[in-house]
Amino acid sequence: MSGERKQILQQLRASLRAQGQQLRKMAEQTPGPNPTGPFVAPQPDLTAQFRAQLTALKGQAYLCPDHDAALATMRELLISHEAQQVLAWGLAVIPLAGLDQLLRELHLTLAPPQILGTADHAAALARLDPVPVGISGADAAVAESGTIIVVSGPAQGRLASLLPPVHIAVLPHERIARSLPDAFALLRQRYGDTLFRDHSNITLITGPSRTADIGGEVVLGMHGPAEVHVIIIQG
Amino acid sequence: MAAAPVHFYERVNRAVNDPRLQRALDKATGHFILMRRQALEEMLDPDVVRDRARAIRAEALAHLDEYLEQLAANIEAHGGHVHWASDGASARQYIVDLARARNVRTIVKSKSMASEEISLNAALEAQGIHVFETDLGEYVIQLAGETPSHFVAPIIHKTTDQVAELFVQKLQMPPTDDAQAIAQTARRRLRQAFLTADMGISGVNFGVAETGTVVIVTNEGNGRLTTSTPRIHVALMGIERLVPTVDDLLVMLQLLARSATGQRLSAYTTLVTGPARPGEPDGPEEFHLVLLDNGRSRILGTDYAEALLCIRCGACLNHCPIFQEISGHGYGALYSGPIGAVLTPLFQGINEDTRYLPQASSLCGACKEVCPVRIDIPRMLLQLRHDTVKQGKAPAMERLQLALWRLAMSSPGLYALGGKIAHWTLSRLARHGRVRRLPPPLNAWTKSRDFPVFAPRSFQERWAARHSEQQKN
Repeated sequence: MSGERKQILQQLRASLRAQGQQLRKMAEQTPGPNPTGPFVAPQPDLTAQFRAQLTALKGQAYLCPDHDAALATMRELLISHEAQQVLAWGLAVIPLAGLDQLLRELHLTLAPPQILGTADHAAALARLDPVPVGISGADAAVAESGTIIVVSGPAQGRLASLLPPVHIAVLPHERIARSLPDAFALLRQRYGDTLFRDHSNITLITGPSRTADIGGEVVLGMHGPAEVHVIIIQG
Repeated sequence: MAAAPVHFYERVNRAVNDPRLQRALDKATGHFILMRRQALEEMLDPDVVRDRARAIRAEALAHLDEYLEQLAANIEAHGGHVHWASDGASARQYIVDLARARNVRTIVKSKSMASEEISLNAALEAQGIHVFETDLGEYVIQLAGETPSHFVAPIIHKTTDQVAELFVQKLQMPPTDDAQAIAQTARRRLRQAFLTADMGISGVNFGVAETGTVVIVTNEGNGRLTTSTPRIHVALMGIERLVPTVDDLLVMLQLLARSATGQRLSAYTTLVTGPARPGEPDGPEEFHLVLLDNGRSRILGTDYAEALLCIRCGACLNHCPIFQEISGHGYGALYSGPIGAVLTPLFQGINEDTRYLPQASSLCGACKEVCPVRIDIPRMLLQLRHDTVKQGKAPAMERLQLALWRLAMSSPGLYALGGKIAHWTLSRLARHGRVRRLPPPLNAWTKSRDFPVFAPRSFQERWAARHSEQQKN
């Protein structure tokens, strides 16, 4: 194995002796710093811009002036989807105080999110598959593209925003950044050096799952959630 | 990825004479062109972003050895494994061995051009392993036993009723022409595969050296599932697909989806950095990155190194007047369109199958114009034509024609004589001043249009006459 590594690196170095200078010149033509946005016409109200973008992608965004309004929205969503069970992040990391109380009131159970290390991996997944609704927080969001960003961690599984056909995300408005680089600046503030060291999966979610492979017609919910609901808390 | 055995001209003829294909191509490429234009036009400063993107990719290539070592070291530090594969056989062997060692029976795959390049599925299936392509388009391709015709939209050549027919036949779907119902049929079948697969294999859109991250972009979410539900994730990456830093990645992401489909971002962009960490509830226990060379390190040392800047957005395919007529299948190679016409002869050498590809261009320059990293594809196509001639790989007839042409063009007497012979011959063949059918090999011209008769007197003769008349006055 290491033989192949050596062979590839040697060939690369030999090739760069011939072409390296040309490539370095190409790189130096436009040195950094990298553009960080805005990449499209900036709008003064980031929350409104985020909402407009997500809505255009057939996602839903709800502007809630305070926690109570956010809880009421969550209640309506859970009732209208007739959920009996939800697949959720740890409730402590979802920025919506009172969510545990609400779930109890609605007699909703939490599906056990643990897949890793279970004796029967496939059986554990099969139990999660019929769960109709996933609930997560959002570590950051991008106004320009209507994107939410979810970072994996012990209480923040990948599957809550992926496996169920309906994904509800709770987003405090101050986590909405203008551009993607601005949103990563927020993530770095939150997580510091651990962002890539301790978090194996960072996913940018931009609207519902979609495909246009069949005759160019857009179909939502191909593999991921067909519905994405983002509850924005402004208080 | 050997070129198809059918001759290039035959493939082109089939494509241009297939009305269903022409309809599907017109619709799809037209749509992509419109979407991309809108997405670039709404950007405040697309040229600044594109210039910087080009520089980022050039920087990655200029120090590719160092960045690859950095990427590998970071992945290993996070508990991942890295295999350096100098060719397709090595990559296949590593993945097959791993699958056997872990007792893998079912594999889910998200879209990977590199895996097609090395015919990975066939090697796995030969071991009795079930492989499911999970991108809807790729799944259709797999069921139909075909090859993709576009980087981004693999079934750009198929109409809705063709997909429906296939699903009725292979998946016992009740007949329908509703795209939603067709997609649901695929979703249900593939969801079962996601729940039971022991291994997920993904491609890589970008590797990030600084953090040891691989980035997978999809719209359907199959890339996320492939890298989340199975216990083992294997990512297969061409060694050139690197950027130095996360900030560089964020620049590239401004352009990838906009150039490919006109979206600001695709629905899902996933940054995977090694296996799941202790305490995480889900995600893969094992992460393997296979770094595929397969000729790339050699190409880096040639005048064609610039072709390695490509981020596989497919914009040059959509905008190419040749691709719009013949689709990816016309090229008879995995990498099609303008960039494929460059890459395929570089990967496979100039041979009887590949030597036509650099000719499959009008050199109109649209590819260079729309390339997010401004690859000078027309220059390389032209240079490949030079190489074809220099290596003596040009067809004998073409060489003979050009030799005669050169002879005539370098002697005024011969040129005039040639003109006279042509005029004499053409006027014998003409009816009403037009030639309907020329003899072979010139009949290619008259298949679709008439050839005019030469003027009775040549320009030289008229010039001489006019000159002597002027002197008389």
